[in-house]
Amino acid sequence: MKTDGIIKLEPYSMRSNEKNQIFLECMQKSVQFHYKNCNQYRDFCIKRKFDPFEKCSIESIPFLPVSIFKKLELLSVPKNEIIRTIHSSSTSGNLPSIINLDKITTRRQIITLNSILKNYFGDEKLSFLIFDHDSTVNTVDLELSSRGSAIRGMLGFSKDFFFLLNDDLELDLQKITDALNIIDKKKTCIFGFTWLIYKILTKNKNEEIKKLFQTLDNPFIIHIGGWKKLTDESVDKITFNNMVSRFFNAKSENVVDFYGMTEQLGIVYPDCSEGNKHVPIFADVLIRDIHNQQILPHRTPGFIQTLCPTPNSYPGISVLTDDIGEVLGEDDCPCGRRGKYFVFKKRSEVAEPKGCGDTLAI
Amino acid sequence: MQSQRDAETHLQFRNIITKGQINEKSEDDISNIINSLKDHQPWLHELSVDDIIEYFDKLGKFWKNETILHEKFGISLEHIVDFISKENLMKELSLSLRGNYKVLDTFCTLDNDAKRLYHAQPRGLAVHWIAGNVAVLGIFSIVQALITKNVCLVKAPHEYSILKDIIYSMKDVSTKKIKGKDLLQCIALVYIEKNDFENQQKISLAADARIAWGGKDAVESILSLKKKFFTEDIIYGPKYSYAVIDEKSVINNKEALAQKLALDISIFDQYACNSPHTILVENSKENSEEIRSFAKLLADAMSTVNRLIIPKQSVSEEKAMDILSLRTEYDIKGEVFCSENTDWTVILSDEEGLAEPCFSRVVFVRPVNNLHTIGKYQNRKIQSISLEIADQNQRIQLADQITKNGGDRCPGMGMMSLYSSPWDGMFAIDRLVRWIPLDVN
Repeated sequence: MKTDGIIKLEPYSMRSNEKNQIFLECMQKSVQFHYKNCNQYRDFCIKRKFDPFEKCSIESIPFLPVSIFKKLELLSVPKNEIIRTIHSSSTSGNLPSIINLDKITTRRQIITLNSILKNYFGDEKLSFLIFDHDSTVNTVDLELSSRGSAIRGMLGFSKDFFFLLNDDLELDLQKITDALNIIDKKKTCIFGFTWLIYKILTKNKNEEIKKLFQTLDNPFIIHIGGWKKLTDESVDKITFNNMVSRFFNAKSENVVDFYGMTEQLGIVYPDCSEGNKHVPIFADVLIRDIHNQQILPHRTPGFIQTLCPTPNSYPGISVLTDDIGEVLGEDDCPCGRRGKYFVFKKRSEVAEPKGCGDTLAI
Repeated sequence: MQSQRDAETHLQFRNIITKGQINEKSEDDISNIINSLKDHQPWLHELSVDDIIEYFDKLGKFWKNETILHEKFGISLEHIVDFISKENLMKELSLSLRGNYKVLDTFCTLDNDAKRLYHAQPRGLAVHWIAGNVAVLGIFSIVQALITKNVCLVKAPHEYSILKDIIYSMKDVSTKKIKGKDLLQCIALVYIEKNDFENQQKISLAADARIAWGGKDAVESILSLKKKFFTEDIIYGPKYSYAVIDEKSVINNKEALAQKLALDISIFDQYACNSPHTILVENSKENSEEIRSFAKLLADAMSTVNRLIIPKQSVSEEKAMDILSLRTEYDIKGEVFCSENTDWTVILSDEEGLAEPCFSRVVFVRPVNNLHTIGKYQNRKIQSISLEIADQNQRIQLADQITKNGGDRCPGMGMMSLYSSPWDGMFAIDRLVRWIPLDVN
């Protein structure tokens, strides 16, 4: 099966042992494509002694550390086929990742994202109240921040949408009032970046605004973008979920954290009702030992490696993230979804003193 | 989370060793600790420098036989022991004190002119800020302060157990003239949280000499504290080190050089100012394979040192990712020789100049076409440049040329990690005394 075939399958319909062979076939074809079309990727595979035209396993496909996209511009298609460039949010370093997208990659991303979202939130489209300013998505050039890109990706899934923040990224009472007058309050989704939602909710002293949101009837709250900034402020998931669900009059299980990354847009890992993240048919997640990068058994934390065959314009098909997670099991999550499921534990941490030599960067 | 915050709060200010005892539960404040140190200044002043040398020599021999200290300090313990040996201390003192270290005890002649005598008096209270990256270096400044008869207040890093153990062991060593427990009363080891501005300010204002080891942020923070007008600052700030090998040496001697450099790179996992991050190898077209051959030998040596001599310390998740990222980058841009895990990495590329350091035993081997162009990389941020140049005259000329604008020492290969005086361009011993001339009729 090819990539365009696998992404049309129901994302959580297969048991791991059924999925693995199909997924491997797709991945191998994808690796072969990038090997042929990206000289740097080919050099990398050769150095890693990996021949994509020989029999291989998912585990043996070499991974690119996520930060490589901050350092090198890797392309597998001619530059004139690039229709959009995405910049990561750069929370973990000074340089943002730069990801070039062509039509094929973009189309695949839309299909996979819709497929995952439908599985979690149903066919019926919801009204989206977006915790951001519309300028985040309204860029005239081809360059888009990952925040803007994520929002734009979600808009296709919305019945209608309303940006609730002003230029200073603060809640705008008029915008909220206007939106709540129009939408069906039983079919609503609040959407935004985790740190931004947290910042706004903790800063908001306006009781009138709070009362307005209390009129919503158990909305979904989808938040993305990771926990790093919240962890720095010692805010854990339970505290965040409780605060958010109270503010928006939602059940706690309706607060859904999305895990995903700029380097593999279109593949998101939402929390299920059990708090687990499920791997769709068209992706895989491996956990690797921090020190020797060997595959770790289930329930052992390590670096999260994500694989998916969807990127066409750049070889981001097997990426080692600097996030720590662990696979909890396969095919047996009480939520009913099949396949592998995992939890995101934390961003990697600095535990070493700075050396003197860092003076060169001063 | 709450308990972690409590623990951090508890660490804001802590006595570690004060008044000759481990006093971690004591709530004595900084003023009392400083007063206690000052009370011992007269006693320290009356000791003869030869007696102090004798004491440190014996202390070194004691440390050398302490298995626990060996486990904690590894190979660095031998460096400390060598430094505080009688022979070395006498040499260091004489070098620093214009040839006659007896000036520490009384007025002496320095130039055979009997009409003018000189005495090197202690400054008083030496306050040391010890860096977390290489705590062992703090021992060198403490010894130099004590031998010049300054009492020492030491601000320990967050991870201070090694420093505590080695300093407290002084109580177990005595000579005929000096009891260790008495000398220990001249040192106080405390922990002060970096944001505890009040106590940081107090120790800075009390200091007659401020000795600061650390990175940019730490040193800038210390320098921003108020001090007395006459306080002497000895700043061991952030520095970068590298090595240079000429073509003749790499052709004739590459295996031995690789072994020596592997030690220099591995000793402090490159977290010290004197750890090399880049090896510049003179490389001509005719011998272009030599640099690759050297890089491979360096990789072999790194592996051996890691396996047999200095096992790698564990790395953080973020550092492991930095290493993996660099390896991938240079799998594409150059060539990587590395361990299967993240223990060590040798990166060969055609790039010019000094590499951004990664630390954690990641070393860059780069070509240089003309050794005389190295000078352009020099500035005051450069510390150690190990030069392996076959021709001695050329070596001296090159050392002169490249240290003109920066660079503080040119140690031999395999010797980069050894502390020696002067350090960072200063004879610390000289800076820790006040010179008093006395005209005699």
